[in-house]
Amino acid sequence: MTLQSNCPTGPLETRWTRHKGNIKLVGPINKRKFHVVVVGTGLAGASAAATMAELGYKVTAITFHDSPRRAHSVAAQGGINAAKNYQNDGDSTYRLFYDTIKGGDYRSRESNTYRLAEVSANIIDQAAAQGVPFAREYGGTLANRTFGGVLVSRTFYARGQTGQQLLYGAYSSLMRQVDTGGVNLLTYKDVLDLVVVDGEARGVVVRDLKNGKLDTVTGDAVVLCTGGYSNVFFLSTNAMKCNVTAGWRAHKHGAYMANPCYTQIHPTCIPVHGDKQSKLTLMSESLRNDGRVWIPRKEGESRPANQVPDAERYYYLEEKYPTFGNMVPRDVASRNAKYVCDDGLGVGAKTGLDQRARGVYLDFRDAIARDGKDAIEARYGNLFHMYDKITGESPYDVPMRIYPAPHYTMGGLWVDYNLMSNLPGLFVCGEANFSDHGANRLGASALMQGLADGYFVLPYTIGGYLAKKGPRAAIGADHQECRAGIERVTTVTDKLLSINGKRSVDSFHRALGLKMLDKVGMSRSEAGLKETISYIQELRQEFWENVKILPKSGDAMNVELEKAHRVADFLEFGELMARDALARGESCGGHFREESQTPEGEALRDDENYSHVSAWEFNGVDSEPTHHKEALEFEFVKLTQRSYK
Amino acid sequence: MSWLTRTLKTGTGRKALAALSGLALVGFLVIHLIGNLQIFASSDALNEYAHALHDSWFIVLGDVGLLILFPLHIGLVLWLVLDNKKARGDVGYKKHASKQDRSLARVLASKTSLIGGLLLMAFVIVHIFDFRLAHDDLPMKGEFKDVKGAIIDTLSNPLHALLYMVGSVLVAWHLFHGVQAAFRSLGFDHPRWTPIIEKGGLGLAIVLAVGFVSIPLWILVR
Amino acid sequence: MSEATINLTLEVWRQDTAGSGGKFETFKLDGVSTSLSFLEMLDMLNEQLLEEGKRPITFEHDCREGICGSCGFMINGQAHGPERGTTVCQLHMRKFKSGQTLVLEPWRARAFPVMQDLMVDRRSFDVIQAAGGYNSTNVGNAPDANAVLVGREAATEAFDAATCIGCGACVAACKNASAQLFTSAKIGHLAMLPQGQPERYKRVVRMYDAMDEQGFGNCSWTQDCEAACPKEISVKWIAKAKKDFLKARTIVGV
Repeated sequence: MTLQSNCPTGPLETRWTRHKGNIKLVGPINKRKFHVVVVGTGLAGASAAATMAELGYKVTAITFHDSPRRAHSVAAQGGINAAKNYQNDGDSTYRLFYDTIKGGDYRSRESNTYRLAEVSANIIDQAAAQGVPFAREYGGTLANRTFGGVLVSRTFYARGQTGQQLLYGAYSSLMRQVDTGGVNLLTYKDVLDLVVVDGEARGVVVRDLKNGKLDTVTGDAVVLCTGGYSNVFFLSTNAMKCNVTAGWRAHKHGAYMANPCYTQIHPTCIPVHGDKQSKLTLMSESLRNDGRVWIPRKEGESRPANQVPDAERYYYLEEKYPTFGNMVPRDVASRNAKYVCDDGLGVGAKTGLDQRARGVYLDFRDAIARDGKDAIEARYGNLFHMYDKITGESPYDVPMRIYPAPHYTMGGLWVDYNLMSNLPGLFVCGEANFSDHGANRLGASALMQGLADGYFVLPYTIGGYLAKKGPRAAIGADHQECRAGIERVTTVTDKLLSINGKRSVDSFHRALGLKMLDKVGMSRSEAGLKETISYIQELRQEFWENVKILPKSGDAMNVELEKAHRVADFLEFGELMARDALARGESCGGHFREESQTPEGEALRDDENYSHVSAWEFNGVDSEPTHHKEALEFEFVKLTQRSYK
Repeated sequence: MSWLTRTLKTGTGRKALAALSGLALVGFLVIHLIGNLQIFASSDALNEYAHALHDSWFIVLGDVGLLILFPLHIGLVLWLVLDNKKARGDVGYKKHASKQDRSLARVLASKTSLIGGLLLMAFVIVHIFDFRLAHDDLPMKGEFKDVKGAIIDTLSNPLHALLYMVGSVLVAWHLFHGVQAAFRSLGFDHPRWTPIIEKGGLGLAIVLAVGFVSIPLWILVR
Repeated sequence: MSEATINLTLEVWRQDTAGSGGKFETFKLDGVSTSLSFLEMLDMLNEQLLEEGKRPITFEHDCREGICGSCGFMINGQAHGPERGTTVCQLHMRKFKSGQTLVLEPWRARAFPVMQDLMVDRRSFDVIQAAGGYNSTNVGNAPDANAVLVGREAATEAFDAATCIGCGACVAACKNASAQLFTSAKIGHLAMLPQGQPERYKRVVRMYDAMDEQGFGNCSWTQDCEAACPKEISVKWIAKAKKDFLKARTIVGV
């Protein structure tokens, strides 16, 4: 199958407008004859479900939480970009488009990225109308800040809780539709399989987490808004329940997984404190504006940080990158932290496979001496407080310890310009798809993409598909594909419960994560990736022989079983990630291949051989997937190699 | 009147009415104390005041008002309490502790407002039997009924005096929480005025307590 | 890095399913690193239970950074444990002493039925939210965001109310199991903003009615809710919402 991106052609500025104008419409009376199943109720899912219901479609929204408000979009801190040019500093749709495509290291589609920049302004309008309490100037207009090294102020924010407030906005629109009957909200339901009828996605198989009951939810189209897969690393800044299951099981039905090796590893997180750690916490990147990153020059330094004299401190970012210093981009900062810790110079608790200390100092001593404690407190008071709360150490007195943590995944299910996967009827929005960020995501762009997809893209494009299909007979629970779906899930569940093993689900997940972070994380090599693939295969085999799940019943709430389903998928997905990383012999964005670097150790892109999207077709768990390529063509931007020396 | 019945069906509506009736009762208490303090004035002042009061329509207003306000206030609160008990569910906590950093007294006053209120109710019943119902049978002293004599007579009994002192403190304790809570239940909140109401409620409670306690105390040590 | 550890005794409410009744079970857990979060301590206990062949303890959690509102239970009678302004996932074991006995109980409220162990069903909050906790603006209808000015103070105040994460600690801590703080914060957030005005009075009446129908108790101004709230939302929002409610019923006529 060749991949049709279905991107419009012609002038970039009018592509989306012209495309919308050409989408076949569903008449207002007919809309209620179409039923759309939305999986996930984060920014993308809640906004998509609410907006489609506003248009008149019948919508079922599914979440495994008790409430849509729990989705992990809630945790995004920094802000949301929009090309409003409210600050009159020369921002424009084109500039946001250009920054995004360059930030993504030229590995995304021009058409998609331009559309994202184009609808960004409408998101702010919609959110403000919903009552999102954005930061304001004294005159009552919206405030902006700069974010992620761009040259204009285009980031809108609500204190450090922008994701929470935007999610609550989308959630309130969703609950309005629940109130009016436009959306049927299903809670505590885990989506464990897809119902595909005649090659088209028509529904999902759900497990009720309260009582283990399996059921099918069917409609005319399925929309997956199930977030990213950072939890393949076990320790990440994602919520504990974030998973790849719905997407992976769709992949097994033929949906292609695109660019799974594109992951973003955030440089400023609180380091791992020990082997019982369950979760990593992000600290705002703004800390690097004033903090200086260093490690002791001496391996095994035993003196407290404050007693290490300047001459024995290795300010490695400042030394290696004199121009940008501590402000180098995320991936450069992350990678260098890994390297110095690999060399045994890290500080803090010894953890991980090699039991090395994995942390570096982020020191505010000089900033406090220069600007005074009050000034630093005004800038970072809440972050210092958060750090103190978690670690019990005050950054005013001792340097912070930081280490990179997996944070966001740019890869995901392959979709065309209409956000439909290669499996007809299966749409994918938000972090779950691969489309707009390329190989790296700019700060404050995740919220933008989730809401752009849900409010302003999918509700139009899905109409084109539904209009083409026309109203169809409903798929009943007794349809053979529904029964087959339930049968498949039952088989997997029974198999998981029948294993009389010794190892907990978490221990497998932890082992997978450590390996993934070490070899498929900030820095990847051919040898390491190959080693990882066989490691995962062995670990997966052991999982299916030796996992221990209690209680041994799927007929009631069973948290260990829920986790087991997810980890089983991560154990397959992780292998694909490694394969994708192996197939991409260049370094780009968040993907760094040690074989492809400049003499100075910088990421070296290879546009001649790798200017494409890798889309993987599933051929069975133990068979090699088929590698499809969608060529990326750049008509409007000139590809440049970045340099931070 | 459907808006009224609909409002009273809600906890918030009932609470507001309980607050209004409570504030009215506080108003009564203030007048009551001013009257009672006549006991310290010239020997006949209280008797003259009582006479004037009982001669006027104020007494009817007071009697009828209190007959409505007391049962209303107590009834509404008990109704709310029943709802509240039900809201906790069948299984309560094994342990329940506060995380408040307000003064212990304020926290205690709020948590004991029900039991304090019930004790207060018992005291008020005794009080009505002691004085209000006994009023008509009082002997005359000069032109007026000897209210002052009757009070001194009753409160000369140390146990009885103690009961009245305890009752007065209960009133204060109830108001310490009740006054500010009533304003809040009526939806009054203001960054400047709410703290003043809190302090004012405490001040009023202290004034009422000192005022009411002073009478049995004076009688005992006289 | 010296790693301090403590030993604990945990009395935990165990209940298999909704409505099945439950009882306290006592566990000993030794060698708990003080740098663990409270939930990581429970993860550790669960690993131990799995090894012993027992069902692990069920508790709600997700983001583990204090923002999703999933976690929460009573630790020695205090919602989210002893530290103020903190969810249980952000509570760390260095706040406890070796040899301590900790009693863990689920939120107790008729409107929050226990599902298993420490996990309760808080969907009643969503019923309240659905009863008007929104502005009715369809996508496409919104005016330019700067067309409606919002003063900085109003925006800040609205944010303070909107920061509620819906964890239910207010209900759990309240002696009346009242949801006034949750409901009022949601009402207050929208009432502070010009965009929330068209539906202001209808909203407060519907949400308050839903709150009563779900079986929550009333406000006695004990203020335990504010003290238990991990986002330290002020009880002033309750008074503000009550004012709107009473005004809606008596003057506006909703």
